Amino acid sequence: MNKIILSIFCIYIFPFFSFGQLDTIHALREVEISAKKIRKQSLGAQNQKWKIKDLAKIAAQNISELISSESGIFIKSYGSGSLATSSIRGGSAGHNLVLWNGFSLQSPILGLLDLSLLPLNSVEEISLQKGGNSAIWGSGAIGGVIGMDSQPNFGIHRSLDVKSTIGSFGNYNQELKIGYGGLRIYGVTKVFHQQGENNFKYFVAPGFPKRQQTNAEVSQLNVIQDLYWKMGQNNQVDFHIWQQFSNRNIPPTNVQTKSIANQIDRSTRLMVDWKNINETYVIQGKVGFFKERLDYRDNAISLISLSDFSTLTSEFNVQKFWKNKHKILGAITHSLTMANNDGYTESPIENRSAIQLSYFFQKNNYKFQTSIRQELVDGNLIPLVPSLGFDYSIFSWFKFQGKVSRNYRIPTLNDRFWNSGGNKNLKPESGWSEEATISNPFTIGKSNFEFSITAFNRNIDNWILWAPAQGQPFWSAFNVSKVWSRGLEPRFSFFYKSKTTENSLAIDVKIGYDFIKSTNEVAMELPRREVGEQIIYVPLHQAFGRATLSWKNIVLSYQHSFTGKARGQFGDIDSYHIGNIRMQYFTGWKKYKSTIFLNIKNSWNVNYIVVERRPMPGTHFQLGIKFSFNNFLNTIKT
Amino acid sequence: MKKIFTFLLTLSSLLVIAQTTSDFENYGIPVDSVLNGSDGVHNFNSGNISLFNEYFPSWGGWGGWVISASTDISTAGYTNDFSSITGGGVDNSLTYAVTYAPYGSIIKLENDAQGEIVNGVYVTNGTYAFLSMTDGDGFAKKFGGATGDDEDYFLLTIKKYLGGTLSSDSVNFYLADYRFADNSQDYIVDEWTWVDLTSLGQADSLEFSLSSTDNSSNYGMNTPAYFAIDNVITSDGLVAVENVEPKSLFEIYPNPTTDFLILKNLEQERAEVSIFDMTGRLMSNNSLNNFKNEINIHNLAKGTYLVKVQTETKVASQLLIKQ
Repeated sequence: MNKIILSIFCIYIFPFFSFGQLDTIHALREVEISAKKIRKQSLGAQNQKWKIKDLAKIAAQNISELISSESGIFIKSYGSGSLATSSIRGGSAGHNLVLWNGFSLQSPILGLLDLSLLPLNSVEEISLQKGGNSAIWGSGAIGGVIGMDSQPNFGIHRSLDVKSTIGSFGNYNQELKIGYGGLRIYGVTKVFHQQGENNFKYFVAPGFPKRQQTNAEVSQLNVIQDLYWKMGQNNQVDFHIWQQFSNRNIPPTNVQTKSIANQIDRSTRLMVDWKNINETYVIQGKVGFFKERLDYRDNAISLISLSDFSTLTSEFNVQKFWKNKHKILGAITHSLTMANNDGYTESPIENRSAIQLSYFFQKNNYKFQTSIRQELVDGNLIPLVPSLGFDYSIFSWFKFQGKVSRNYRIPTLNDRFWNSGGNKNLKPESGWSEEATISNPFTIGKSNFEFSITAFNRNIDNWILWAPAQGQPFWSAFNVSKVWSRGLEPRFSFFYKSKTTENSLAIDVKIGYDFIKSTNEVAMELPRREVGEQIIYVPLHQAFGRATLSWKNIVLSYQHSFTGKARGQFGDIDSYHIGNIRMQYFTGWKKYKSTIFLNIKNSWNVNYIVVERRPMPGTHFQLGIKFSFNNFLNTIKT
Repeated sequence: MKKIFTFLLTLSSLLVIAQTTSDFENYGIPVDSVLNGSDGVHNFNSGNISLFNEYFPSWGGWGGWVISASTDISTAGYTNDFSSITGGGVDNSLTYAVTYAPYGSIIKLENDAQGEIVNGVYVTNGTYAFLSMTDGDGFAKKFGGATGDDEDYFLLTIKKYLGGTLSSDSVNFYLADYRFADNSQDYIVDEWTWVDLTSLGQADSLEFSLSSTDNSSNYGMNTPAYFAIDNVITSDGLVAVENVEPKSLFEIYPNPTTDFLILKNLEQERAEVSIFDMTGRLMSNNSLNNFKNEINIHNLAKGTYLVKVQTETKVASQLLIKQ
């Protein structure tokens, strides 16, 4: 790891020297931002976006905490420092897609991504596109898409951010971010280190002493290097390197005497992204190489599971605009995945190729977008997936949006190749989803309000389940189930700012409620399923709220979430309320800025679990300090 | 294999129910070895039962039954899925059978035992299941749960097939039972325990199935679906044998004796010798393989015993005095 860090520093930190013409860059960025919207906008669906630099008011350390507290997305957390996956609109972890600069981070072996491994500051912007999006992003974009995007900060400057956090249960976080910008080049190096004992005491039962969690140590190191280079007037090349190492012990369940299990995740992600940006068109070519390894060992039960994969993904797309009224996008992608798993008898190679077309039309207060995607996996055609979305601002205070799409998920390599039980004849899960939203934004004085409500409906056929195979002592993967999800998502937001100056008083409130009914539609004996039964780990009711008060140098924030009763693997999981408090004070002097913050998590000391048998910590604290230095000489504003 | 006999009538010609014990010792496998089908043999026979095995060379897994002489009672996890928690068979014998029964396992009755009553079977936990229930393993729970108060159980249910029909009657045996109000009475079976199956009546085969209080909706039963058996005693139906004078069938000496006796098998046919105390309790049972056989009776208390020798067609008895 030391060698890798060293080589990154040598290659990228020192040779920053090139400066360019201001006006050209200004023009190009506008076109680029406009172009991006074709894919990122997901017209007709609900999108949220967070600029990382604006997230000071939120007590979140990683992406799973952010998404959970800000969007009402259910995060299935196995405990502090442990695996965390998302469930959006009643799907499972494999029904969401996590993209890093447009390429999927999902493990092709497991079909999911551990969100606890994604530090919040690893990118500059995080977005959430809810609803089906396979027509644009392909396999897995059924429940929603979490986007992580690196963004340049051109302009002649140097910046340094150092952040250190100390927390309960022996948790320490250190972050270092060094930025080096010119007019034509911008580089940023980010290093994140995290370690924790996570030896919290948890409630067992009334009258019983608390039990201390053991074997829960985690350590994680992320080194990220981004480099953006404007070549001439029209070309930009971006390089991204992300090295990750995570070593964590797997704590015992609350019905296990002890555990000595351990999991090590290693990943290397490289990406080169070239864009040729013109007034009326953009040509883009991207290549990404991801290599990941997961070693799981539980010597207590002689269980050793080793797996790795390498994926080489390339994409070429052309976007064409006509006076910002019509836009089209054509994209071709190909990915080659090679995997090894000691549970397989072969080392599978998976080839995925896809062609995608999108058309966007905008006129006055009306927007329309349609897309279609055809994918080929190892020579087999995946169902053709179209989508159609619109956005109609009937009045400035009343907007109507809607979207219809077909979506799919390709079986994981485990589903296809696990020995025994993997089924190479599995079909992709697929189905249609529909959604509609009405929103009512309005302003009274200095206060901005918005009410909205979204209704969605989604059916997925060929839902893959592992079930006993006829006459075999092991289970196999089958396309046996159907799941019907539908729900309502009302939202309310309020923002007030007394003045435009920095010393103003600002109040920011966001409240949301999710009603999600996601039911099995096929009865089965084993695994036991009944028609109309809510699928596991999907609470019927969820609500969240956040209120943030900013005044002068102080930010106070309170987040509250309610997770209703859900069915689990072993029975019902009780509902719970969780509150998080954040207090922050910042001060600045010339180019220096410092921030001190205190997070009080689970502030009401609630005993709760998200996943059965996996205890969660009571009230715990994070005290942090951040120091920033920025000597901007010239900032480009767009 | 051992045969014992129960007298029904005491006539010159009498009817007996012959009993055959399936103890798997006939495989003669060395200690800490296992027959799991990897050698291509997928049907095990002992006494009058047969056990079916499946083996999957691609991943080294097996289903159905294995014949085991494993003594490993400490290794947790699925790699030790062929051990019994006793580390050996009944009465310190070497060999026993283990089954993986997620959807039930079958014992087929063969030969004379087919369609007859099964007396019973010795049962105990597999090491994998025992240690999983004792400590939990990340997949399955520690029985009793976090507080020790969870009313868990691991239940073996035995039913019979006769004429192709599965009976509704069953015999239940708790391989672990944590349902007692007093937690000190909770137990996980760690010894060979006799399960009487006579109440099932006549059978062609027996079905053993497992259930537990630890189940997941996605994966079914979490408790490892393993248990071990030994000394399955089947009955071979009524057999007519001629009651003959002892001297025409065998000869024993010295009598009285102290530690051993010599038994001459005069007809030199396949025969079994059984020694009963005067209450009719079976004290020992041996095959007579030679003309002249030495039988150790060192463990018998002083007193008078009945020595009974039976061939396929004849039976005779004589008193023996141990001093």
